[in-house]
Amino acid sequence: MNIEFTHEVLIYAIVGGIMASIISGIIGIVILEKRMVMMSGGVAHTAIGGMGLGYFFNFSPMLGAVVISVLASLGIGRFQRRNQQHTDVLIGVFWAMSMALGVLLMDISGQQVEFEEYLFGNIFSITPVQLWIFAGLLVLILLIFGGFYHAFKVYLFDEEFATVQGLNVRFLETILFIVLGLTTILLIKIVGMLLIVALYSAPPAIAKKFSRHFSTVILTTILLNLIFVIIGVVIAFQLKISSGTSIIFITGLTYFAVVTGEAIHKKKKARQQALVE
Amino acid sequence: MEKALRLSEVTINYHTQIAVQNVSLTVDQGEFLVITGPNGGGKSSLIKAILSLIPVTKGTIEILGKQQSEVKGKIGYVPQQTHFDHSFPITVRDAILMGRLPSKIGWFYRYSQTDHEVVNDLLEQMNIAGLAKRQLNELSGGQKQKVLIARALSSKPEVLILDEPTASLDVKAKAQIYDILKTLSQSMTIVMISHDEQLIARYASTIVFLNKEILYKGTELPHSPFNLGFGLSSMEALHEH
Repeated sequence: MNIEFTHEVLIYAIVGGIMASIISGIIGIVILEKRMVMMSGGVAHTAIGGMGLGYFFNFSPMLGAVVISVLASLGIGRFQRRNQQHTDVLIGVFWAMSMALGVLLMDISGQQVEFEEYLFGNIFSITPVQLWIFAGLLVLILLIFGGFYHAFKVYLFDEEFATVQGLNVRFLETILFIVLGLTTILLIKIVGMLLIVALYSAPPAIAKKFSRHFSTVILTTILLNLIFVIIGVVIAFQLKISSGTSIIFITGLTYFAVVTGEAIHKKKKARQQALVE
Repeated sequence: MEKALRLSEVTINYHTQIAVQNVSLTVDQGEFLVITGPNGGGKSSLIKAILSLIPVTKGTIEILGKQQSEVKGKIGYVPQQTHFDHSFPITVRDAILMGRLPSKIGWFYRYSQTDHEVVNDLLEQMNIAGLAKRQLNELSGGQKQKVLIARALSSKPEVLILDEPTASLDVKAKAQIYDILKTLSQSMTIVMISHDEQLIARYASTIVFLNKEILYKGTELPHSPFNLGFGLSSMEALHEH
């Protein structure tokens, strides 16, 4: 990585990481409850196609990635609604086609693209302008999900009931897909598109094991994200490695530790109960 | 008085298959109607079409004399228990409160004192007040069903629609649910899918036997299909009859 590891870089990285933790904490629980983990991975990888378009037609690759990710998110979501059983195939095709298109366009345009940064993330290359964009997205997400908290809760728990209640489920879903596309681009900067799925799924899955209320699951997920991201950033800073790998390693190891601990606890409890009986 | 429900020549296609064909049915207000019949006979499709969850291919559906979109708040719905994520982190009180959410929800909407009072009354009515703070996934099947009925009732509906509310419950829990529904039927119309032959006979005011089309509508259980079970031969026998 061609980055000077100064304290300024570290501060930018931590501020960016805090904002990304809050955003992915909110979106992560939505993704987990709607079983959209694979879809989020697919959306992340379609970003390469958008970047390729940017390089080929000489406009901002990140803008291309944002547009294509949002369109992919909306497209896959609509298809999922109509043909539930074939979504995984569509995601796979979107995933591969978009990456192939992106690489092809980058090759034709003759640009030297550092893929590693997109694949594994590099929180240390965050610029002040990008931090402002993150802040804008964070405010937007807080206004949307805070403003319609109860509606989203019903929608996530029981979509059919929400529809019967007369809630505009299609509107909630469209907002969700747009935000998913935008958030995914932000997280590519932090953990990279290969690792994004872990950050979306593992922290809310851990939080669900310890929380009784929907609101506390969100808060716990945000807290876990903050811990994973900040520790990951500090380790990456010290070892001068990519931020995505360190963050995801900590996230993944914690998840497996919790799952194993839970399994041992259950086994122990069952054995004690058997002894009592 | 307007009919609670009026279906006119309703046909529903599910993908390329016909789920329901040419069904006409009227339900009076205050009726306790049970739809029964074989699996794959179109019962859930018909209910979902009444609730506007799936479109009808042909025909019309009126609820309380109006189009479906005009009576959203007047219908209560109790889905099958298998339908939602049981690990969702939600308490009994929060689940019932969901029924109080208005369709036109404002930004940063908060439940009112009245909403909480309605929920308190329903918790008492369903005899689950002691479970208010428990998580939904900690409850037994019968308790969960009471919560779902309370949620449906919290919007004060005029028509209550239930999709197999007693499926996978034990006999005692089933009887409790039917007792609750019998009491409710004195103040609202109930349309329910069920396979509980004996309980249907005891509680329902009208029974409809559906296998893509209505094969029977009456106040008592017909002998042939029920005594023979819901097999194809009994359907055909009844149809021919």
